[in-house]
Amino acid sequence: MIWAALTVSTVLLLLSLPIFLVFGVGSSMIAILDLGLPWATLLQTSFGGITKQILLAIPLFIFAGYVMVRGGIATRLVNLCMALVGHWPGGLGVAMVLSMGFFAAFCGSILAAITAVGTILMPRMIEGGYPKPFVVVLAAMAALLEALIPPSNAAIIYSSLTQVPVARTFAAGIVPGLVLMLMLTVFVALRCRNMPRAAKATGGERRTALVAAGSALLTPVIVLGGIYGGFLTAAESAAVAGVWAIIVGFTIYRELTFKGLGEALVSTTIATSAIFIIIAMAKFLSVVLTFTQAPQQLIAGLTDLGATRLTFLLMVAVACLLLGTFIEVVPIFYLVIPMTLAALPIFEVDPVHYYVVLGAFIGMGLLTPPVCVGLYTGAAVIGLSPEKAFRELPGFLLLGLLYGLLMILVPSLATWLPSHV
Amino acid sequence: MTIPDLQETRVTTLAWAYGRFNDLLARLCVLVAGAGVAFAVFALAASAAERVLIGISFAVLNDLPPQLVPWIVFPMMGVLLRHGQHVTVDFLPAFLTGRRAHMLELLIGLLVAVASLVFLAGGMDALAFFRMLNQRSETGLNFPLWWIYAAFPTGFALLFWFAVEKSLCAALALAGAETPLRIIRGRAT
Repeated sequence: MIWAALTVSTVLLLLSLPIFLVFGVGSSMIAILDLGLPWATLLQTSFGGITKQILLAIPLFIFAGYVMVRGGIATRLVNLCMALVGHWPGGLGVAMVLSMGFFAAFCGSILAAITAVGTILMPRMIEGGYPKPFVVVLAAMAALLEALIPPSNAAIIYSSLTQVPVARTFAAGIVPGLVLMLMLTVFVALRCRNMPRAAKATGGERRTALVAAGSALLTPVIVLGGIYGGFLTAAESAAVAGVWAIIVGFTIYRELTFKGLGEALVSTTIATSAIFIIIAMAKFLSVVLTFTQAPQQLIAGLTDLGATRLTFLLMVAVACLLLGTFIEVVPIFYLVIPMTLAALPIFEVDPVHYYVVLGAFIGMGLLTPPVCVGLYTGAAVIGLSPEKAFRELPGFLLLGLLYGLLMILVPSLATWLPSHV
Repeated sequence: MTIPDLQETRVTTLAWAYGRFNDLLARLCVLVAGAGVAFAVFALAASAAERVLIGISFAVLNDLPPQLVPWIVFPMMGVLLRHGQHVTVDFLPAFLTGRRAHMLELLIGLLVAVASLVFLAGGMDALAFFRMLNQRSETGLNFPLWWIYAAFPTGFALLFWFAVEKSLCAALALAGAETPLRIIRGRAT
C-alpha cells in the first residue's frame, strides 16, 4: 500500500494537483486503507497542527507586512537604505540587500518583502542600467534573508514542529542572516562596481531619511523586544506589529487607506490559506510516519551506512536542494523535519543549527526552477519573463551553495546567539 | 427567435447565473476568512495590551483566535483553486498548450472533485464522531468543539463545488463554447 500511495502521490504531483491534495491523498490512503485508522484521528491531528497559537504568528506577520507595504513603511525604509549605501559600488543593489534585511526584521513573508522592496527599488535599478535578469535574481536571493532574520515564518514553522522555543529559533537566524547580507553585499559590489552610483547623501539628507523611517524602525523593537523581554508571545507580537503598522500607516505616514487595509486583509487570507492547508494535510503524513515508524527506519539505515554528523547534514542539504527545485518551502519543512528530527541527538546536531542549515538550503528553492516562487514573484514585479532571468542564476546559486556549506561547517554561527538568550 | 437561438440564450443565462453565484460564494468565503484574520489581529493585540497594562487577560481573546484558524483555511480551498493560487508543481502546464492544456485542466478539475468528495465523506464521518463526543470549548465562550471540526467538510464541499466549475470551464473550452465560458470566467476573475 505504501508503494501504491507513493505512486499515486507522484502522479498527482506531476499532474499539477495542489500539493495539499498530494499530501492528503497519499497519506490518507495509507492511514485509512492500510493502517485502518479512523478519519477522526487524522482530523484531530490535522486540527491540532493548525490551531497551535505559535502558528497564528504567521498570518499576523504576513498581515503586518502587507499593511506596511500599503502604509508607506517600505518606501521610508528603502529611502533610508539609499541614503546610507546608495553611493557605494553597486549602491542600488546593495540598497536592495539592506532593505530586504530591514524588511525581514519587520515581517515574516518572503513574497511580501519581494513585492514591497522590489516594487520600489527594481524599477530604479533598471533605470540605473542594471540588467533586468540580475535585478530579479538578486531580489529573490535577498528575500532568503526573510527566512533567517527574525521574525521569520520559517522559524515559526520550525519551532512548531520541533518544540524548540521560538525565541531561540529567532535568535539562531540573526548571525547567519547578517553573514548572508554581507556575502550578498560583497557579491553585488563586485559584480556591479562599474554601474552608475547615486550621489552621496549629505548628513542632513541621512538624518531626514532616518527620522522619516523612525516609526518603521520601531517595529522590530516592538516585535523582538516584546518576545525577548518576555512581555509577548510570538503571535501577540505579530498582532501588535499589525496594529502598529495600521497606526503608523493611518496617522503618521497617512498613506494607508481603508481600501488598502481591506486589500492587505484579502492578500493575507489568500497567503495564509495556501500555507495552512498544506500544514493541515501534511499533518496526515505525520500520523502515517508515527504509525509506520519510518523515521526510526531511516535513522537505522543511516547509522548502518556509517553516516557521521557531517555526512548526515550534507545528505539533508542535498535532499533539500532537490526537493526545493520542485516543492515550496513550507511543504519541504513538513516532509523533512518529521522524518529527520529524531536523528538530531544521534548525530549530535543542535536543533537551532539544523534550522539554519535547512533554511539555507530550502531557501535556495526560491531560485531553482521549475518551482521558484521567489524568482517568479520578482519577475512579475517588473513584468519580465522568468525564463529570461535564469541566465543569472549560476553565480547566485554558487554563492548560495557556499553560504550553505559555511552554515554546515561553522555551527557556532547559528548556535552562539541562542546560547546567550 | 429560433430554437437554437433560444437554447443559446438559456445556456448563456444559466452560465451567467452559475458564474454570478460562484462569484458571491467566493466573496463570502473571503469575507469569513478575512473576518477571522481581522479578529485574530485585534483580539491578540488587545489580549497583550490587557496583560501588559492591567495584568489580566481574557481567555476568549487569547485562545479563540487559534481555534478559528480552520474556518479561515478550509473554506478558502475552493477560492484558491478558482484563482489558481494553490501551491502546485507546475511541471506539465509548462509544456502543454491549446487543447492539451484544457484537457489537463479538465483532468485536474475532475481529480480534485473526486478527492474532495472522499475527504468530504471522511470529514462527515469524523464530524459525527466529534458530535457524539460532545466536547465543549474552554476558551471562555462555551460552544461545542465540533463547530470547529465542521470547517473540514464545509471546506471540501466548497472545494468540490469550485472543482466542478473548473472542470466545466475546461470542458466548455474544449467544446469551443466561447460565450458561456467567457461569462463564467468573466465572473470568476
